[in-house]
Amino acid sequence: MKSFLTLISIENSKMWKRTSTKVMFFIMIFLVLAASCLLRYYQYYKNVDVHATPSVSATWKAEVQQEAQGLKAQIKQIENGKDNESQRSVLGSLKKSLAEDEYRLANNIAEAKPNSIWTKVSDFSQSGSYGALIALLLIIACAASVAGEFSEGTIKMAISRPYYRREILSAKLIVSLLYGLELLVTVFVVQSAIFAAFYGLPGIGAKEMMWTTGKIVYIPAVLKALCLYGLDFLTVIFYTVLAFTLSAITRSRSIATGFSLFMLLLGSSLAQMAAVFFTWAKYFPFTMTGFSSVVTKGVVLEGTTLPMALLVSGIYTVVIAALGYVVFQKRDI
Amino acid sequence: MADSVLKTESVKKVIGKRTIVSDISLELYRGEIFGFLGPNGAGKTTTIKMIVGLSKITEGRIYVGGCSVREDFKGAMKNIGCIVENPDLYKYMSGLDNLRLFAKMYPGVSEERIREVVKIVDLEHAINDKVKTYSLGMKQRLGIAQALLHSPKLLVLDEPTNGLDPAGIKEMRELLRDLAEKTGLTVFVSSHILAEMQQMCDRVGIINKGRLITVKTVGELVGMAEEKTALQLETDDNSKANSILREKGFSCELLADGLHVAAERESIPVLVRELTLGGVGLYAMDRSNSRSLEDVFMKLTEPAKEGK
Ligand SMILES: Nc1ncnc2c1ncn2[C@@H]1O[C@H](COP(=O)(O)OP(=O)(O)OP(=O)(O)O)[C@@H](O)[C@H]1O
Ligand SMILES: [Mg+2]
Repeated sequence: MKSFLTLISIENSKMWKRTSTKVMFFIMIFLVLAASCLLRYYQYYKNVDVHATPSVSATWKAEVQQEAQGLKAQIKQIENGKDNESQRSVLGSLKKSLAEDEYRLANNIAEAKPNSIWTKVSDFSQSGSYGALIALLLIIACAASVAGEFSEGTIKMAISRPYYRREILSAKLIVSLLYGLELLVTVFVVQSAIFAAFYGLPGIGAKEMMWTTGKIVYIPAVLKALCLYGLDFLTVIFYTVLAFTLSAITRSRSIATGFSLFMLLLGSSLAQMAAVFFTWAKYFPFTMTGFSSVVTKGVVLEGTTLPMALLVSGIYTVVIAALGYVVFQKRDI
Repeated sequence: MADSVLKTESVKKVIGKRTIVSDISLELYRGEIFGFLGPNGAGKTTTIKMIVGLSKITEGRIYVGGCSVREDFKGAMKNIGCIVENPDLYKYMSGLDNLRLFAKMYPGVSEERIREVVKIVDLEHAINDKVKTYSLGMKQRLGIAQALLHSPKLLVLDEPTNGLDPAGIKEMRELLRDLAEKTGLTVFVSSHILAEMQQMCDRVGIINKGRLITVKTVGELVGMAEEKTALQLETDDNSKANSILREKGFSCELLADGLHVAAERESIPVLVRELTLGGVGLYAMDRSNSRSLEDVFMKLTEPAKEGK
């Protein structure tokens, strides 16, 4: 165990000595700062009073009730209508809105969203697709650490050592994922800090509704923000493992990076398109990898849930990783 | 048996349907330098890759310091330091950072040991520079430094003199000889140049087309070469000398740079007498051992050609 930790620290210093690792880290921070400043400038330009507490209309109950009724009718219409398959993809989002409305009525919650710094942070992070950005950087980093060592020839130097190949590979995977975690935490901290500077710290302890495909939970907004970041990290893990295995199999940095990026950007929507026509296509590896969007927007495919998405994608992650290990273990270098 | 550092037992490698090497059985002892000699494509790198765990052994066994590469991989690797093909190190790091990285992989390699190794390979002046700025010779030396860090019993080098200039080759030779004598390090070094092996190695194994043809001490090889020494004569009348010697049964060849004669050691006095009796003045007589050593090598590695 101690020797494995040594291996991890070796891989870690190898990774951080690479210029691209540091550059990517700063690019990420820069993007967060730039996007936040742009938002603030826009609000300034439009004379938005960012410190004003949003007023609650006195008739909010009636409004929500009316909205809920409309949603119910819409859902019924789509569920009964057999003709329009593609319309069914909005069902998940409608059901989420309905559940939120009903929860608000039942628990007497006037605001759909609290005026909280955490809500601002997580909404902005979600719309900025920070998860996808981090996945992108991690695919590049992981392919460099695994396939890059093949093309640079240095993998020979790493193998003839008193470590098993699976240990070397595990160290590389763990270090890549650690890098992702470091990026994620940094992004969260930087985003929170700059928003705190812009907007102060309203609603630090506020609670917010969170949809978990099935029911609403009412949790502190900070917890929801962390959950969304966590779900994004699970997506990041999935695509990093994909890049990792492709690197171990093809030994080509460009193939591993290219294919994983392609799947990250298009895989999920392509598979979802297929799933509209073939029900079994929802069990494709890439169909349900957008975990956080299930919480923020509702499911796209009828009959899927968040736990199911996590389970299916989790199984695929393990299978894909195992494939990489088996090939690497047997391969002549 | 106790000081057998590397032992291979009928090692075979099959890739796809092709047998790349087969039946390689060798034993190397403490403190010796063993040359692994063969033409391009003979299977040297393939054999070395199996020894250092880069490729799987199809059949047979390999022991390094008594540990089986297949069954006790970690044990075997603790005893090995190697460079396979090119000394590929992390280009984006300095030489010293590379060494520190590799040093961490073995327990008990201290900062002093790193300094010591740098000194051994004489790279102190450039050790803080990035490896991408190194010349090939410097990379080779850094490669040897990382292979020596953990004081292994066996050093495996695949064509280490590739791309080195004559001074570099000589330095490398002296370094390896020195290490073998002073520290008891066993060196397994491959090459396709016989003359180089002859000056450096104690024993030489010759491999061709995936098979180990013979293992001989350098003395034996030189002996084989000396059975028929190639002589280069310079006389006042080369063509007359040529006809005299041909008459007496020597095999000669008249070339621009002199008369080349293949003669056994014992018959050299006869040759001189015949020339004197024939009235030919002899100016010079050179013996070129290396050339005839190459002949031995060619003969061993190309038996088909000899039959024709
Ligand atoms: N992965 C492989 N797949 C198929 N054939 C291979 C593979 N690796 C090596 N060979 C073949 O095995 C033979 C031996 O190759 P090897 O690299 O061991 O030769 P070598 O003795 O090191 O030659 P050189 O002096 O040129 O380095 C060659 O004919 C080569 O084509
Ligand atoms: Mg070779």
